[in-house]
Amino acid sequence: MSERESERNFQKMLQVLRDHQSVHFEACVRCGLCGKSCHVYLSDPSVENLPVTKAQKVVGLQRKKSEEVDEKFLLSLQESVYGRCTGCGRCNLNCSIGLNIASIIRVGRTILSALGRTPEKLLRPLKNQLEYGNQMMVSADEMRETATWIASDLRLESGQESFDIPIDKEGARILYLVNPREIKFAPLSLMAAAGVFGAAKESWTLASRFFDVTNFGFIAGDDESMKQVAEAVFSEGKRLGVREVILSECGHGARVFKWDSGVASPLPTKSIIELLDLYIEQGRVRLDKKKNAARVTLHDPCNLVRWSGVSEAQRRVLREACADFKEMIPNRAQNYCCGGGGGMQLLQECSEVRLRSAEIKANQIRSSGAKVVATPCHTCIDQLTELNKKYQLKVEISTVTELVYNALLY
Amino acid sequence: MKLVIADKSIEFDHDGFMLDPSLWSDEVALVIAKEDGIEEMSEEHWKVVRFIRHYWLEHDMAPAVRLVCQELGVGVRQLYKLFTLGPARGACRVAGLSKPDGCV
Amino acid sequence: MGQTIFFFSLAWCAFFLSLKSFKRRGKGVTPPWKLSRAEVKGVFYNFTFLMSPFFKESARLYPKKFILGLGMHGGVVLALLLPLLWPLFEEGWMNSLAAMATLTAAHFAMALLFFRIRDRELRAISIFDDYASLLLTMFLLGSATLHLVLKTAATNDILLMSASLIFFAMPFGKLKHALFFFLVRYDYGTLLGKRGVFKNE
Repeated sequence: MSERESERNFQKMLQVLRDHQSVHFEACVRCGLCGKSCHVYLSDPSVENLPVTKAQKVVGLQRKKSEEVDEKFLLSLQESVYGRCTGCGRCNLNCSIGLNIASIIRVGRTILSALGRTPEKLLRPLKNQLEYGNQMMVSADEMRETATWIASDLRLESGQESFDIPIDKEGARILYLVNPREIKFAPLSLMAAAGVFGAAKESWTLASRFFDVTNFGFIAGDDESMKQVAEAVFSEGKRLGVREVILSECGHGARVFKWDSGVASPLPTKSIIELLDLYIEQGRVRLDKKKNAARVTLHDPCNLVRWSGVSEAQRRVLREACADFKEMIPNRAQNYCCGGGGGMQLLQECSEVRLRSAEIKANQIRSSGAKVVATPCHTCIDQLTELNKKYQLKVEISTVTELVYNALLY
Repeated sequence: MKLVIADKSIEFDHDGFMLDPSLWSDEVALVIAKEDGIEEMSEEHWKVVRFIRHYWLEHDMAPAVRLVCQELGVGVRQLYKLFTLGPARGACRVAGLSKPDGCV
Repeated sequence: MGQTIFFFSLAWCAFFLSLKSFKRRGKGVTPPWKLSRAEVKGVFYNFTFLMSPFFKESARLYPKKFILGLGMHGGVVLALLLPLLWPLFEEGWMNSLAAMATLTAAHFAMALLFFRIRDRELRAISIFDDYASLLLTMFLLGSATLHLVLKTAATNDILLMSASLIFFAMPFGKLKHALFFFLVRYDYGTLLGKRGVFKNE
């Protein structure tokens, strides 16, 4: 890297820091108490895995000279903020000062994004979202045909002729956003949601464009893109004239659409978990918990509990939908990350760290004695599925909606 | 991870997808399938895998699960019974595709 | 003379610290008078429950550092208040208690410095600021103890000197956490409150 390039990069990085200036940046006392709360550090207690080290790489830039910010440094920054941190925020609760450490580390991602150094596996879905409206380039036609196909499977399976999956239905009460994988690869969770909506006689719709609940602008620290993606989705909701936006099970999706998109949401936004909780409370669906007889435990997605405050709803739902619900310890805001958050699940170069750091989660699952692990986040599902294989847990992984669907009484 | 299959050195990424899909063969498929707990590939397994492979060669991307199911007359649940890791990490992987982008 | 320098250092600190904290206030920080009930609850929670060992796991997992840190900070608060509250601690058992507190705190600070030098991990994350701050703190606590015991004009000056050094240095290094601690916990507390992130288990 030439000296001029180094200097240019350095100035850009300092500018990003200035733009994100906060009192959290210089209050670290380097006490190291953040260490043992971090699942990455716990599985590999090295200095590099300390949250303080990762955060100081970002804010410590203010103490550096431009020559020190060379290729080697940039690679190490990339490794710290993408390869050793899922942004779970557990360190925040354990910091002596009370710093928002995870957000400081996320500024590192914003810095890398400004330098064009977002990992390819995260950049491509982001580009797809900006260009096609969703991370997997699913076309509107594909959306409609898939909805028709799933709806007919749903009617066959449930025996309910009235069940359907509406698309672009104007004036529906809620707009349901999905993870594109539910269209392209894993439609059972969509089918389950449609079944529950049908049983609750809900007025709902999918959108054929901008239907994506995920937001790779958020994951890549690219706040401008994050806003753009969120705005497109909210506009779609307004265009369809819905009164509420409901989010498919997605950790960061809940966090972004409810709180962190940078766009003032024009519509009330809830996770489907909160809606299921409401249905059960209001008696709009009837469940037979004996249909989910095996012991079920719950993995709390970090972005849902620690960053979005949705922690009781999923428990109430699972207690009604399952005969034997057992908590993991710790849980709720003190839960451990599944290990795959913050995009790490998509970064194959991080697989080793990701799976090793999740040993603590695997132990929690074993201790619970559960046969089924429920979790309201598709990335957590993928990560837990891998843990299941690696640590021989011999459990089933399921979304919460699918368990509710399974327990439905028509 | 590197494996030698049928005299060819095949490299896999950390998620077990082939780094060079062009090196795929039936033998490779069997090895990957075994890793997923599929001891023997049935007629149905092969139908799914060949369809996915053919689609990928033509369109340079993984087929949507709907196409797989409709072409082969299998329901989604049936597909999950065949490939417990699902259409993407299960079937597409056995078919030698590289890992699809996004939340997969 | 000591008093003049002390008050000047306080003014110096107040000026530069206000400048820095205002500059770093960040967007999206709600001023206190605009807080919702939920946010107030969150701020309270973050200053109380979330700092206790019952809720804060790190306090239980690092018991030595937690106790040493608490003790040291207790002594520091006392030592810095000494010039202002001197009549209270001049005589009697209050004097003895205070002297024991600052002496203990001085030892705690020394222990923390010792660990920071010995511990490979702490050494790796420490910068000059960390060692210097501990030395300044030890000087403060030592001179506070000395003055509580000897009560001379000279020890008074030394105490004021050590306190002044702290305040001169505060805006420019980690010692600023004396103020920023409150701003940080307030800020994150409003986030916790607004989003309803309370119950821990």
